Amino acid sequence: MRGRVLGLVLAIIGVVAMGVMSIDAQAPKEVVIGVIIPLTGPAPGTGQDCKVGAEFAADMINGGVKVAAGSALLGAGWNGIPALGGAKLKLVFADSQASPEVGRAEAERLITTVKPSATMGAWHSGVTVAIAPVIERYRIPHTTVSTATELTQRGFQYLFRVGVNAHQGGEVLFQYLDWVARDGKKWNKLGQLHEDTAAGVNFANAIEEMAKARGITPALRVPYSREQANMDSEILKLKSAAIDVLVQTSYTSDGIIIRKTMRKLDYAPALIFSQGGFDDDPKFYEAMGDDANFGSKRQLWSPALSTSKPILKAINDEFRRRNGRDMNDNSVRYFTNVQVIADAINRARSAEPSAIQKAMVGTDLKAEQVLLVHGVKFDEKHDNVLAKAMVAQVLDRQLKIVFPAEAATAKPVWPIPAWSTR
Amino acid sequence: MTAEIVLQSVVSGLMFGGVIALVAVGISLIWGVMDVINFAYGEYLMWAMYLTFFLYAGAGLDPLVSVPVNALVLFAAGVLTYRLVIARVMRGPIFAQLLSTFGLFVLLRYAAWLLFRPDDRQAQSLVSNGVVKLGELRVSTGELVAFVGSVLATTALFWFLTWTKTGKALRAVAQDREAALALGIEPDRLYAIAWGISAAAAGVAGSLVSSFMYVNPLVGDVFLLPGFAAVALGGFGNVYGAFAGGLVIGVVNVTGGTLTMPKVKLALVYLVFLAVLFMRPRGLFGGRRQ
Repeated sequence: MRGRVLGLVLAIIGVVAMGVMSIDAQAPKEVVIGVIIPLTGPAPGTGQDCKVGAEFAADMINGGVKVAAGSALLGAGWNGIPALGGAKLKLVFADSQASPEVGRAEAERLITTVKPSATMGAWHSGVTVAIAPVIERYRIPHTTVSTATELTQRGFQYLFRVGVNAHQGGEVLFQYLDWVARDGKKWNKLGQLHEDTAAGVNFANAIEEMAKARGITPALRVPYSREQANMDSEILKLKSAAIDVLVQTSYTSDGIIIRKTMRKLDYAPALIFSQGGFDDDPKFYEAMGDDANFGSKRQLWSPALSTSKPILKAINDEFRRRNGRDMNDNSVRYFTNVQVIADAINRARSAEPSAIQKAMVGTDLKAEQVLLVHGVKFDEKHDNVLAKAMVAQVLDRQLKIVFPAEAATAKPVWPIPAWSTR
Repeated sequence: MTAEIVLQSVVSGLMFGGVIALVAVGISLIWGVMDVINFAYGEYLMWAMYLTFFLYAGAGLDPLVSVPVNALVLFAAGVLTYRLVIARVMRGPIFAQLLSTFGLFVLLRYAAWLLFRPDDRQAQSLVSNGVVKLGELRVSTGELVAFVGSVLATTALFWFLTWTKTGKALRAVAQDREAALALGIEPDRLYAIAWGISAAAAGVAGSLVSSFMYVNPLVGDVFLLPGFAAVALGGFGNVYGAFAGGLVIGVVNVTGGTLTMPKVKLALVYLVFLAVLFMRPRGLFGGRRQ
């Protein structure tokens, strides 16, 4: 009995000693990355996509995705962070519940308890706006794909936008409109319908600004608050103004009510263009069935680009084998977030947040090193100067690239068919 | 703006108002019989929506089929609430009653948050996606069924209050508690029944709205605030007026939003509400209590 107790005590001392030793060691065994995303709340499907995308990337960097080996993807063939002696990436998730208050509290909790070397998130622009001052205060390098332009206008040193901002995401709409016009397709009035938090307001502002710069006068703007059961007045307003190019920013539940109301009130504009949100969420497709068809969105990834980047298909196949679905803009963007952080850690040769921040400023990832359609390189405001988008349209309940022509996998359906003909 | 659009907005508003009306009737009943404001009413509706969702997800029940189940379960919950909480504070000052229903509100909301997490969930109904056309006017089958269900439930309640012995006793207690006591009516049992019926109305409304609305722990607010406005508009404690008030609120919401800007539609609802109270402090239909 006494021998057993002694053994146990020795074992405990051993474990504690190993822990102390590993803290003292030069290269850490693992590097902790915090991920703040909406795992519950109004967008759990979206948060789940971000989560599996980030996990997939971390697994690749830790050596667990064999199909990537030999490709140009950053982190392919790695077995942990090379410059840190193979230290593994460890992701710790926090749930923003899509709420700015909860997101801010969770960011603070995450930073103070698990001491991450870097963080990413929070998907919703409104939540990212709330957590940006927190990560700045704690000096933790943070990557985001939130689009609200204002995020990078406030001089934050630790915030880096990997994806498009509202202007870059809106740019493709006007290129697309020019392109379809050359094809003889007509439209008259541009209008906007958007939820009234940061993502919706910023995108609508950007679209208005860009439209005016091109001599287009936006005809109508309808902001709405998300928590409501009836959206009839919003849709009647658009219908009576005969808006035929509709720019829409909605999250999933409101996006479902809006599409159902459009159907009920027989409102079908020639084009519905979104910046993602409801039309990236599998739940939207489950709820809407064929009524999900014909909407268009700015798209940042397509496995069909595999003629130029053969690895895309292999990676997507492996992702589908693991998760039962294709990668989408959300999983791909969070995959890229992890790559950008891993690259900065590797170049910094350190898990120290300040060193990673310095390295991140010099990020220069080519398009073939990431899954996105564009590479990653930051300007002085930490916007990604390379960010650009394509246009995808939902056809047969799937997103198909319709613009630019060289990437297209389908011809666009223009105008959207009237409800009565479907 | 064409006449057709305006007319459509009125029809849409009436459909939406039908559900608000049922909520208002439920709130109004308790207020009329007991002079108690139930702040937790929206949370009963929210729990009823969860019950509908889980009956759908677990047993495949269409939200409309769950109407009677919801009505029974929520009736029991209402009676239980009265026996466990309200009966005890009835002897206390009015603030005790206000705070106890407010406490219930917090308890029910955050219990749902804890148990169900804040995810949006929606039961799919067979009827929710159809569209009924009356000439150029269009309503969704989900809304139409909710409207008809709401009218039927309210009619049943009117019938009960007007023609049954218990209903008459309830109205007697509402009009003059002391006189009713003197006549041998036992208020305690009637109060319990009133709470049961009021909660059952939330149960029915919960099933009906589930065919077009998602549920999350905050969804009660979406219906409670317009519901209160309808109660005040219709004359506090007047269940008939509350129903009419609900319809008015629905039309002001949708037609008002369509004619001005949709963003201000709730503000319009409260503007009308304030204007009515300013001119008729007892509400549009507020005279004597029914």
